[in-house]
Amino acid sequence: MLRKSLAALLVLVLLSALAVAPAFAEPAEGEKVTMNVMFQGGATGADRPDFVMQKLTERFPDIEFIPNIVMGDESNYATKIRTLIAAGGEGLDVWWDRGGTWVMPVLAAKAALPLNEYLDKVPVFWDTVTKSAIKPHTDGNIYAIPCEEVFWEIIHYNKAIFDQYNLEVPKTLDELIEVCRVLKENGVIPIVCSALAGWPACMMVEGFAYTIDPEITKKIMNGEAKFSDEPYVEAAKAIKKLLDAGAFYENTPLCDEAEAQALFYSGKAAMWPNGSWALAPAYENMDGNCDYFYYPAIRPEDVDEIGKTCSGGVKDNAGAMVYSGTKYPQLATEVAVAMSQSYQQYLCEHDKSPFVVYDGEALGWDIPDFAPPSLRLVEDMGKFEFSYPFVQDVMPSAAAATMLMDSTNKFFTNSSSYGVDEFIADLDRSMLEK
Amino acid sequence: MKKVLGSKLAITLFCLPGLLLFVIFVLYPLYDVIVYSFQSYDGINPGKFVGLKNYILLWNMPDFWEANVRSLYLCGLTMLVDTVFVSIFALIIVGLKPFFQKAYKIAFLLPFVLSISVISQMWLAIYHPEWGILNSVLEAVGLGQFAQGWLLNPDIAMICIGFVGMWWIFGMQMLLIYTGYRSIPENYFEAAQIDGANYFQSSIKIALPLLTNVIRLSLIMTAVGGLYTFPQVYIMTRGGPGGYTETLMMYMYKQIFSNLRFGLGSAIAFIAILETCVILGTITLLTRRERIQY
Repeated sequence: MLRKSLAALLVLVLLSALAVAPAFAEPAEGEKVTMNVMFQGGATGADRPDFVMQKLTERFPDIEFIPNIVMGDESNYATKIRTLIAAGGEGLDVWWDRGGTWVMPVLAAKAALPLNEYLDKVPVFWDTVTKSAIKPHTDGNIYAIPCEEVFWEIIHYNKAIFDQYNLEVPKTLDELIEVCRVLKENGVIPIVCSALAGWPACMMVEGFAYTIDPEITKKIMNGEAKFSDEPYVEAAKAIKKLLDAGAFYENTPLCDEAEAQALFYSGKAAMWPNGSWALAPAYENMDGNCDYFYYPAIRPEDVDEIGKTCSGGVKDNAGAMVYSGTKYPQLATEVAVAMSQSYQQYLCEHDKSPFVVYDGEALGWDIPDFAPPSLRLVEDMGKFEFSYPFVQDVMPSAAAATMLMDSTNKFFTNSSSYGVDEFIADLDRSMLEK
Repeated sequence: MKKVLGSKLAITLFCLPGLLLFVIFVLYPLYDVIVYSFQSYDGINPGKFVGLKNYILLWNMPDFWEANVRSLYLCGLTMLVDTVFVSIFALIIVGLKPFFQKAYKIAFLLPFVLSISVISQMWLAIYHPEWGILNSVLEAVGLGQFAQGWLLNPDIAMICIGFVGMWWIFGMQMLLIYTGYRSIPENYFEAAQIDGANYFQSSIKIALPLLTNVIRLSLIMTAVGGLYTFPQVYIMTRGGPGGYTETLMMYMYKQIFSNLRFGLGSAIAFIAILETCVILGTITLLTRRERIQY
């Protein structure tokens, strides 16, 4: 009897201990906490990571941060994250993830912490963030807090060159072809597109497809349409027309972002299709001679629809993430929020980008004077009737996204053996890549 | 020493550290590659055994075969240039005055001092269609009609990329064969000279047969180098434009790191290893000869 009573007592003690235990382990008073923070350096240089690390250190003086700034391209970076996770997560607490299809295995492995309940306890977050930018995953959980700004598919153009040759911003494909003809005749590269990486070329095809049916990408991803339906076929034909007209820079299929930027900034190229993240830096570097326009309508009857819809927004599951095995999840979530905020602060203060998802004034940032085209785009954003993330970020798998980008790169070679039909057939096939 | 070498235990103990490293860093990863090649694995989540599915998939993938053919083509081309031509070149240099021998050796070895990444970046600039040196030189010497986008032309892009690796390793291969030549006892050539043989005849009849082992080594190095061409492709074209320069290694890299298909990538790796074994076996068989005693 005594044994049974003691056993019951022991069980009761254990259960009550469990009940009163804090829901989330947090560091004890005075405990020195170490936190591994990882994000990509590479293309943006060291300034941004340095700024973020400095802000984190100021905000969390009791935490010893171990920064892991990975140089190199996106795949190097993503591989490092996956390797750390596969190796048991040692050395990983908070990291920036580029999201899209690449993050799917990370989510499937339950390596990212669902942040919903932790975010509610972060002191300065929900009051300062644009709520629509915090996008839950399909399972309803929030895994990422955005670091990158909101961006849109636009075509940047050199105002000085357009003025010099009395060119108007094209509203239709035919007008664009005519603008390209004039520029080419005058020794200016009409369009520079960094097709080497694949995605800028995909953006161009999608940009034209949007002018026929803005919801086409969403429909394709939902299985309600195909790439071989009218919008993408017409978009491919539009690109083909431009390629045949010699509208693109000769080295387009092997042109990278740095080369395209250099050609556009130097005035050798007149138009640069890119995400709106490039708008403010281009305006700054070109003495105010950079402006933007939306993709011209393929069909003249769609001209009035231009600017009402635009592909882009906030990337799914992209931003600061917390490793599910982190020792102090609440603290790590606060660090992730701080990482997101300081990253965006840098974009706002240094890059003069107004496309941030936080209320900078409420957070005490030094708000600069934004470039007029950027402000105009911010104004437009409020009027967009429909938007959907870029096609390469919403493909069903990483292999599908790769095939889409490779096919588009191949299409931009304008090879006689790879025309519109072959390209569209490959796009349809890419949807089957698992 | 004799006592030590006579003891099997001592020999085993001496070999053990090297053997251990070999097992850890060569055999175990190789075993892992073979295991992964029978799995569907994304690099994070536990792999699922899928039998021969990855190999069957590869069999039906035209891109894989095209990449394989390109790599084998590069393998053959590199062997031809960096062994056959280099051997001829080395034999010519050996006949020059010492000053010129040194000058040529240094000149050809210089590229090898730089990493292949730097070399690739340099050649990327040389080949550039708009501002590349190659087109400028052609224009300057009146051969402007040949100026073109060297890496954009599907017919020559692969050769242009292959040339970068061949150019890079040319000096190293030359030094290898040159050193092999210098190690042949002088009296062989003197005897041939007394018998009335000229330089060409001594090179063909004496030097080349005695250089068989060195040439075999050179063939093996160039064959492997050609088959496993990757950094030049990654830096210069990423397999583009339109996949025209995608080698087997680039294809494997893409499957693993872009498509997250670690299982399929491992199957490609295993096939590449088998191909290497066949190529190296063929080279060894073709260059097999009796042991030469000087």
